[in-house]
Amino acid sequence: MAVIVRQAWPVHDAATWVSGQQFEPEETDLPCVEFYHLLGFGKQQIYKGASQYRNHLRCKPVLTFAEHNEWVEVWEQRHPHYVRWSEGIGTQMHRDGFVANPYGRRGSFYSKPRSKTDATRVCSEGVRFVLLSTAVDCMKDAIVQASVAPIGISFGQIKLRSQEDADRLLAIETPVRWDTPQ
Amino acid sequence: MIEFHHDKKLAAVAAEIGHDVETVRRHLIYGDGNLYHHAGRDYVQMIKGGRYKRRRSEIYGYVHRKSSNGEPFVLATDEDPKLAYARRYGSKALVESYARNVKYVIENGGPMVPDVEYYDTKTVPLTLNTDTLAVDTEGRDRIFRFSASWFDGLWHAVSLPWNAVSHAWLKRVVGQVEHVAFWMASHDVALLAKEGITVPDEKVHDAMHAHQILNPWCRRALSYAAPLYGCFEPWKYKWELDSEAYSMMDAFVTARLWERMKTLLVETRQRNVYLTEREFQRLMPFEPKPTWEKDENEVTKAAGMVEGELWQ
Repeated sequence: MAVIVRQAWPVHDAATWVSGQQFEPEETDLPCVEFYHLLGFGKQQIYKGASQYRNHLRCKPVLTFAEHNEWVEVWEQRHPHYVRWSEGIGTQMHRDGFVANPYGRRGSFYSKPRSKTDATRVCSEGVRFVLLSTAVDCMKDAIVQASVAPIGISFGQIKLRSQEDADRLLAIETPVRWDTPQ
Repeated sequence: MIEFHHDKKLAAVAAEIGHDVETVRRHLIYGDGNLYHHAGRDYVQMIKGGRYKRRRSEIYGYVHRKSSNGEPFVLATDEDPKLAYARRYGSKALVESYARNVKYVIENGGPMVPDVEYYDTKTVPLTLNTDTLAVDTEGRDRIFRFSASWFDGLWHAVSLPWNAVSHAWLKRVVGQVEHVAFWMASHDVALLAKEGITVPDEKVHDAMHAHQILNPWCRRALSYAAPLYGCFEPWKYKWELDSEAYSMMDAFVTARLWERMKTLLVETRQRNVYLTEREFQRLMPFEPKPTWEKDENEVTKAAGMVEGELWQ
């Protein structure tokens, strides 16, 4: 019988690791909005542009555009380390031509100035790459350390052959937390 | 003229590789139209024909020997919508590969080819003076031909049909070397194991995974990756014209690519990422794709859904 082990909050945990900012998604009011905000999605992409994401937003009520702006302002004040880290990603991309995740995997993307008046470099694809690749590399590293042969993996989720394999995997301590769905 | 628009690109490449613009202009040609002009209609129809008709990208970055002025040239992409994604994320890597390949052609007079070729089990050496061997098998669910390549001061390449003698030779040389490089190792290793040749896990290297780490924007096919790491002629179109040469090039290109990738993984500090990926891929299950032995429309026919029957 297949057993599923998953990373409950892969993006939040990866963001905690790489930026040094503590995230507690289970205690916040809008964890899914925060999820997409961490990945660099803007308000249009979250609420209008991609309806498939809107269906995943189990945080109710969905914010209006004006409310979202207010939410972002407050959120950025509460998470200064993360804001500084994401700005650093833009600077690093502009300077080195690549960004690397904690495992050393590199990616190259476009960076651009925030606006005509603000020369701070923005690289949302780079931020997204670091968070997502960190979560997936963490999963691969744990599989190798536990030496289990999975049936299959997808983002944030591993399907294993037995409970023994699951126990071996759960025993591996990683910065991205493991979980078994009920 | 068309080339006028590429003067800046040519000047940049010339500055990068330390040759004058006129020399670079002779060896770096932009766009399909110029490929027709320099190599002729027959040649273009041949390399774009058959199964690879739609894969136009496989001719860019490669060396084309047949030229109106008698000199080999590297073909660079002009405007190809299929390469839009590649241009966005990998334009730097593509331009660097064009420059590197042009430099190689100017200095060596042609593309990379094996120094010694073997097509017969009577001539292949029984002992290899190398630690790395590249192997490629032909066939989906059974092997009907294989090729191998190695470097011992000269580049050797072998292409042999699958029989008892070649089987014994491959088993022997795989035992001699420390590393065996493949392109999509899971497929080749599984097939070889079915035929009784076990390649130990610690020897197996997959250049395809190294390529995905070094250039994640690029497709995983060997023909797309080849010009990024070495300077070759297009060879995939030969698969039905000259299957021996085609098979040999598969192993030779894998060997040259792996040689280059080993250095790049260290230079970019991604060797540990590759080693973890290699271990991870070893643990992932793999089964070769089955071929249809019976009628592939059997299920559809049984359901009475075959075209035409619905209206009877």
